[in-house]
Amino acid sequence: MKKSKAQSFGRHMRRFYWLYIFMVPGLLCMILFKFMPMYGLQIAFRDYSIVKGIWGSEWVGLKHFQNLFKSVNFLRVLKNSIVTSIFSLLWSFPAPIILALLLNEMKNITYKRTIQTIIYLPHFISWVIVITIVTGLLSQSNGIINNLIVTFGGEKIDFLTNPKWFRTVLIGTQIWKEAGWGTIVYMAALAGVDVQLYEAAMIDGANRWQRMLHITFPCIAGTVAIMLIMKMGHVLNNGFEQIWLLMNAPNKTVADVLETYSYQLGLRQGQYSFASAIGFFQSLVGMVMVFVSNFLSRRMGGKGLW
Amino acid sequence: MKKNIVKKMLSCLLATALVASVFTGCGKQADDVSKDSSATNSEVVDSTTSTAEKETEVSTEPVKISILPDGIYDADTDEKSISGHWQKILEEKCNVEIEWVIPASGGYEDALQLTLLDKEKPDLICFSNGWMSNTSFLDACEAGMFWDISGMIENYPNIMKWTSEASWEALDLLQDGRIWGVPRSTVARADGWRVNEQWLEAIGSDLKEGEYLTLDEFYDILYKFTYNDPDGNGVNDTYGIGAYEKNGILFTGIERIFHIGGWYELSDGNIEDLRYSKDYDYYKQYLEFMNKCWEAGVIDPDAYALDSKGAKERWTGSYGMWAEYPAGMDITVAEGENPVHTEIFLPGVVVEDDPIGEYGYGEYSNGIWNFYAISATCEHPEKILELIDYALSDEQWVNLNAQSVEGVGFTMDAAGNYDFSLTDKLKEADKANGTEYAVTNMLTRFVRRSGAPEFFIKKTYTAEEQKRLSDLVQITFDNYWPTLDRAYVPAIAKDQTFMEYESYIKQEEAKIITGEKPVEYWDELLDGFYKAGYEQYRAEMLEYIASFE
Amino acid sequence: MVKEKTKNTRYKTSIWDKMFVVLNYVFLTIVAFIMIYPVINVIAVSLSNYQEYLKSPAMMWPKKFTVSAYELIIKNDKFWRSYINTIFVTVVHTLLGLATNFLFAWPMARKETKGKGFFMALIIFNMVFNAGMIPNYLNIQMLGLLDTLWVLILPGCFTAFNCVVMMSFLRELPYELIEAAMVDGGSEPYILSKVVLPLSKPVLASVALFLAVGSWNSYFSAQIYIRDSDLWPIALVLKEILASATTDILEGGMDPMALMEAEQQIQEKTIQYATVVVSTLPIMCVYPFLQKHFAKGVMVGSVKG
Repeated sequence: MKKSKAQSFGRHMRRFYWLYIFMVPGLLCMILFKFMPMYGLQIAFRDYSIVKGIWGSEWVGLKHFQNLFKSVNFLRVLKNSIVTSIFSLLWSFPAPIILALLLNEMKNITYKRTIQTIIYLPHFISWVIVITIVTGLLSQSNGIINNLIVTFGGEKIDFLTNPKWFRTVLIGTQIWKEAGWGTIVYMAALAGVDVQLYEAAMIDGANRWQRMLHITFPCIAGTVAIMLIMKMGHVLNNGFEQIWLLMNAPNKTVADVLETYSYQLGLRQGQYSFASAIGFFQSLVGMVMVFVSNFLSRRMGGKGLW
Repeated sequence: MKKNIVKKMLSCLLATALVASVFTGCGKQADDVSKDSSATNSEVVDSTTSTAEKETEVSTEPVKISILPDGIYDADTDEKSISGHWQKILEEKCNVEIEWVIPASGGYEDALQLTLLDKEKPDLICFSNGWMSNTSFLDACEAGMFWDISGMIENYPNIMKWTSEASWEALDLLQDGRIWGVPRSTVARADGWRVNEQWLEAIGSDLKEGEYLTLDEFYDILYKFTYNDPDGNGVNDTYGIGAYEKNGILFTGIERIFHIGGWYELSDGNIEDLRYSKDYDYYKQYLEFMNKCWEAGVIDPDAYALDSKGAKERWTGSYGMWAEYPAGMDITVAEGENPVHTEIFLPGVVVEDDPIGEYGYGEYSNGIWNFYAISATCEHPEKILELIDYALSDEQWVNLNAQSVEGVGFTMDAAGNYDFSLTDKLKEADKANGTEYAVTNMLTRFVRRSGAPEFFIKKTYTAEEQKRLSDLVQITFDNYWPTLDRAYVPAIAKDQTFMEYESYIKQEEAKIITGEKPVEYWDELLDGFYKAGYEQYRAEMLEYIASFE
Repeated sequence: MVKEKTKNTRYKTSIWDKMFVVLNYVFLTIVAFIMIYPVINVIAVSLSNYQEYLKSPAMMWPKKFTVSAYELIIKNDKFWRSYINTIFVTVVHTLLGLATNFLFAWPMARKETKGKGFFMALIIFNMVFNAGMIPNYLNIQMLGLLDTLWVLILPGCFTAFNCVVMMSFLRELPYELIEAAMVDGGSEPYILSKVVLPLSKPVLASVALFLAVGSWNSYFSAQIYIRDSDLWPIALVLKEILASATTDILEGGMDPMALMEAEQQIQEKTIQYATVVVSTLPIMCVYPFLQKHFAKGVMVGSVKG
């Protein structure tokens, strides 16, 4: 029995050895630049000191995690991270899919391409500049939007400092900057849809909505599922730069997420171990979420990562 | 052949000179560094008659020094550049060869961390003030990664003369008498406000430059700046005072009026940090005043969303006052400027029942704006100190003070008047060629004298204008009220609970200022903070301060 | 015959359908306008007088038109040197990245490959966990890549995201084609290069775009690993120009001179924006070239399950 297993493995290798050779460059890249430094994860379990080095620093086990979990702000920050993530999943994630589907319905190729090119442009403007522009637009003293509100008889709104508005502004700018860029993956998937399928469907008298529902969407569903699973890996990561730039004392109650918290209490103070512990926690949760969502996706009959 | 003989002679000389220098102690010569500008061989032979010490100076191969500076981005050693010329002067005078190691400024703090990991470090590293309490740095000092210079600095008269005593005390980082760096000194002072002169006229105020106000008068001006349409455009778009968020709290300079900023000795002899004091309600008075300003709308409602850069962009058109050092004030009208904008200086505001008794403030009281540590791997720490000493000497102060190089960027007549037409020419050339020859950032950032306000005043101003500014600067010196903490940070400040509460209290403070919570809420916050470790912080700090008395 | 019939169906389209088409055009046009606003604003500011910018930062059209900011940038040779670095890094990184990701993704998309779960777990682990700045630095130092352009090229070649994007595309390829090739006795390299590669143009185009744009815009590695400013990429030069004024003014409270210098730099906001334009324009132009590959239906004629 064992022998035959080995035999069949040998046969498999003889036939498909190329498949494994193909993977060598990728694996090499991963090992050299990702796995080799991974021993550094233990910083989270030590009291890291630059002078003593990673191996020389004292092993403190779960001390930093205990500090993290018992801290007064941790629950609030964790809640902010999760809520922000959920909002982002509800709004920022579907936005490029919807845009891609709508673009796909455009028949005028030149117009479609123009729109496509335009909406992906904001991706190239860095956050610093986007936030400067947003601050200018939403300003209470001279912002265009508030001036408009006043012209139409409304009251000025403190978009930038009010905790209630923070997430709206955050998600809004996220969509503004990245939604167009996000369509690329889906546009590539849509390019793979067989045109004959549409023709056949049209002959069968399927209307636009039916075609979208029964042809277009199933064809990109795999991509959507995979993107979603990948996103789950970063469920506790909301990105540092954008939030840091939009956060201020009045809206901090809702704005402070794990990254900004880690930056203020860990990195900026030279507390690497504490910052690493937060990072480790984020990664661990992300890893679990990937496995869970992959399992669920396959369970529901869709495709998973594996 | 001949060359060889010369070389041999030289090396003999060198050896004896080295031995001699060991006995006589090296590096005393900073002030009278040989006047011969270049160290060619013939000159060496000529100068054999002079002292052994001097020979070392001129005959040794130049010592290589690598420097990791902060904020210098134009280490352009090009001959044509002002920086290049200055570097050449330093190199020749001190017989060194400087190599600048320049990390990306955005990643400067990261670069410092990573430098600590390297075995081969630059000889001289510039650390920002935060590192004076950074655990990594303190560990590194303890482990001998840097030179303790306490035994050496006394040999360098210029360094000693132009560094404030408080700086050395502050750089005794482990409180054991060892000193871990040379400060890049700055001026310890009490800033006031730059006030828009045209707006003052428009609201009919008769405020004179240098005059002190009472809190009510101050508020009155802020209010009128906001509602009396000082810019005359018919739109209610102005605010009394520039404000922005800095390290999580609203900054307007108004806290200076209430002496919030450090540990002071009060008029009753007590030593307190008034921000977190339970015995004095001065901080609550401050919060109350801020709340009044906020609700009256004399502060830009965007203030919390602005950083200093964003606020500064608005200042000339939207704000009537701006908290800043007076030396850089706009006192002349630029050509074609519209609207006309000039400023006068308001040095301070006096409050009744002041615990200090007058307007006084002083945040930068250790006189340090970044410091240089010498790596233990550096073989010639004395050469580095010599270099810094020379840069601070009277000979170079002419250059540092003018922030350009004499003979390259400017000329000076016998009366001490500067003529910058050379810099102007370089600037024109820069514009035409896309070069950076006229950039003088290296001179303004390398080192400077403490307590030397003239450094900050543009030499392009007329004598009269310079006099006006230096008088104002003098006022900021007179108002300087030394804080006693020397920017020391007690160990408890690294405690998780402490740090968290400190950031929480800042965040909650905003609610008091914006009127969401009453001022009494501060007491509640303070109780929590004392429990979270401030009690101990206070005790440690008082102990530290007492150690100097 | 078929054509006529499709025409017929089109005629039958309901009023809702027509409304949808119109609304779709209107909606996307509005979206495009909103999204192009920041780009227009940046360009307008870069061509304006700084004083005008202070008066109306939200401008959509240059005021007191001037190209002086651009003149300054174009004459700066530091800028051009970083341009050349970036072009080199981007081209090599994109080619290497395409190759490694594609080679890895193809076996991952094949039914025959064993241990896919294990490899996938590796990839995900790599995506989710990060060793941190200090261990990464020590690693790069050990590999001897500090202060070389390779440090900008090699580490990011293989990324989970790009690999998974490719994999999900390759999985959708009609398996019959590969089977047919195998039956014909084609070797694996032959199948990959002659059968799969031509069919993969859309995904190659999009991953190439991700790699190229990512590489063009990335400054973080350079900031950490490269001290020699001759080797800086354009993104870092841009970052320096954008950041210098901010960091300086934060320190400014400490030292009046720093504040004055920072002020001079702030004056150059128009220069900042001009730098943004000059440094991102080339990479923006890559898209239209790759775009045609997205639009084509490549799998015409194949049977899909």
